Amino acid sequence: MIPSLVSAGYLEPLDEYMKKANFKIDAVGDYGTFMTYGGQTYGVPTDGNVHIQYVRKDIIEDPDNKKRFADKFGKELKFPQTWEEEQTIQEFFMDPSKDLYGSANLRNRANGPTWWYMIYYSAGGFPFDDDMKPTLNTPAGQYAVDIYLKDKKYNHPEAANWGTPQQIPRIAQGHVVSTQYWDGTAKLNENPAKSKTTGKWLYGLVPGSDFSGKRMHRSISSPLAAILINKYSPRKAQAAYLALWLGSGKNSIPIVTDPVNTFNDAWAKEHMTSDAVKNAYSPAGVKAIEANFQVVAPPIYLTGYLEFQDALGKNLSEAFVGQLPAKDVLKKTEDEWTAIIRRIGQSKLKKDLVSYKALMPKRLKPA
Amino acid sequence: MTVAALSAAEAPLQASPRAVSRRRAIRRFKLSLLAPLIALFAFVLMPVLLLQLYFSVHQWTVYLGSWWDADYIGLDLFKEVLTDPRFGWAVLRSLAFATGSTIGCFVFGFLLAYLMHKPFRGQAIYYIIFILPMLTVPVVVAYTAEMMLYQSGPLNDVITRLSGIEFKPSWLSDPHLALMTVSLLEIWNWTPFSFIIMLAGLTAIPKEPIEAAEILGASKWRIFWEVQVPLLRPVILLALVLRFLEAMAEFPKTWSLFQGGPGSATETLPVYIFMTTWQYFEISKGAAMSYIVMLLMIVIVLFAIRLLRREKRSLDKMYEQTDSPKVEA
Repeated sequence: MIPSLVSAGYLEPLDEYMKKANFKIDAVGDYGTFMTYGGQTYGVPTDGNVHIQYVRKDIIEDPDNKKRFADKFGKELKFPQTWEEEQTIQEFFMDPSKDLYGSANLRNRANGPTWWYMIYYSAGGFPFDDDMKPTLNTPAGQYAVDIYLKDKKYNHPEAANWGTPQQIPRIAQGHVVSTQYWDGTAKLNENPAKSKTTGKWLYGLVPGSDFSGKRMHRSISSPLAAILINKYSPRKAQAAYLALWLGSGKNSIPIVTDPVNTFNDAWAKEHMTSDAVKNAYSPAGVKAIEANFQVVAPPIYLTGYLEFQDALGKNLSEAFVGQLPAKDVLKKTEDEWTAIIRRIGQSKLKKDLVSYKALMPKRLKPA
Repeated sequence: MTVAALSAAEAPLQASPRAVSRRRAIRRFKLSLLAPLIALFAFVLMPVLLLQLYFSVHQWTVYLGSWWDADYIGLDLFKEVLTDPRFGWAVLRSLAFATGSTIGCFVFGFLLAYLMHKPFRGQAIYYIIFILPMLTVPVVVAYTAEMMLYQSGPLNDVITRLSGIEFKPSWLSDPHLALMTVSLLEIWNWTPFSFIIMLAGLTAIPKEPIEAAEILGASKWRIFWEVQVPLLRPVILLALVLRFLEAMAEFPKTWSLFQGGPGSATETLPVYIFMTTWQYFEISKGAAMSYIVMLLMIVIVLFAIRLLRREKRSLDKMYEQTDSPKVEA
């Protein structure tokens, strides 16, 4: 939303305040750049919101399961490295009669695109060319749609309209084999007062893809959660300094570790070495967060973000419930995106595109 | 010089000063009741409608600078909206939803009103119970219903146990059921509205036609169908029209539960207008859509007023015939 709100003239740039306060956004990896647009900083992070991989430790480290898997597939059962490996594990271990489903990935209209971007980016895709023409309808795009829709076989039958209130409890209560989800769910999983699966999860890097010819992993941080300052506020300076105070590593630790009252997830370098954060997320969870931040990408980082997002989400959702053939999703989305681009202005969006591309991770996988 | 003699019936009636004063007082009273509404319309609604009209004929989004510098584009947005298939589908969904839920509200509301229209012991308690759904905030209705409507949730479970047949529809995830799910919630939420109107109508029916029909030996069904229902026609029409208009504007339950999904199954007019205006920030297109919907509603209301006037005329005629029978000289 930062590009949209800046384009509408609503946001106060924070660089001058940061300079006066000698403040730096000390985020893991390049996450701090997600707060910038057109070379200026507009937000202070409050929530990392990065996706990490969750795999049931008790399922994939069980010796009987390992043997059965090896007997069937002729290879070792281990933490999935690709989308295809993950779906094989999900299919093999799901058991609806015991209310155990392979996946808890969100496929509803509002959140589905978040998962789709991870697959698409990892296949080497990028949604626009340098002339701001949509480039979704490509082999990488279709690969992402196919993987995305195949999830229906391993997900709960009601996943088409389920959101976080439905899937997070299912993850914590042990009804899921493997999934990508926001990193804060690790906090819930490791809270024995609220979870039946404390100590039963492996956390790690989200799956990658070999589709581009190279193994590439791409996580996502969406929605971007930050404190933004209203340009028209009569107390914008005070608001800006408060934002910087809340965004310092030390002051944000209570926010990202609270087990009940906040949904905010760890994002700062100081969080990754904090005992409080390790207690809340588990040391493995913290390592996973750090790793995924190194390959994190943003959602569409352009003016008109919500409109692009909803067009994609609507078409993916229609395909997921059978209202639209899979082969038509991307063509239809491209046509709708072309109309959006025309409305907002191609030359304006070409300028935005520079910021968007600058935020994309440079490495294929974490160091 | 002769003066033609006039009979008493032919002489023009001079209104007495008292009658004139009374008529003026009634007119002043009517205006005093209407004055706040006229003021509200003039000072609050009119400026909003005019501003919306401005946006609908100028191309403006929040990304394009000041709204008073926006380009004039005439009726282009109206043409765009009227040829937008997504808008057409939203209209159809809204009409289907409004029609189904209005009929449902009317049927159940009428049934409850018929059961309640004669006094009985404990009537007040039942009255309170029956109107409780209308007092519940729509978003609360939606979130409570969500918990009950999971495929493995309490509603399906109770029906399965009672019927002995496995009953597991996906109320919230099946695109063929989603709109019906909201319709059923709407019926639950707003049946009391139809109930209150129909109860008022039933209790206002004069006793004499019913007593006369009973004396003549008419059955209960004939009394209901040939005496009570015709007398209730204006009230029924009012209940249907008011409910229909409200149902066309339903947003909180649909948005809380579905946000237009699954797929586009619940993308009704209010949902589409909301997304266009507040998610896509296409303020001008949203304004044009709102105007088109307002005109559609005005056509429905004008048609309803015409029907109501016709009903009133036929009722007035019926009462005139009843009150002043012709006397043969």
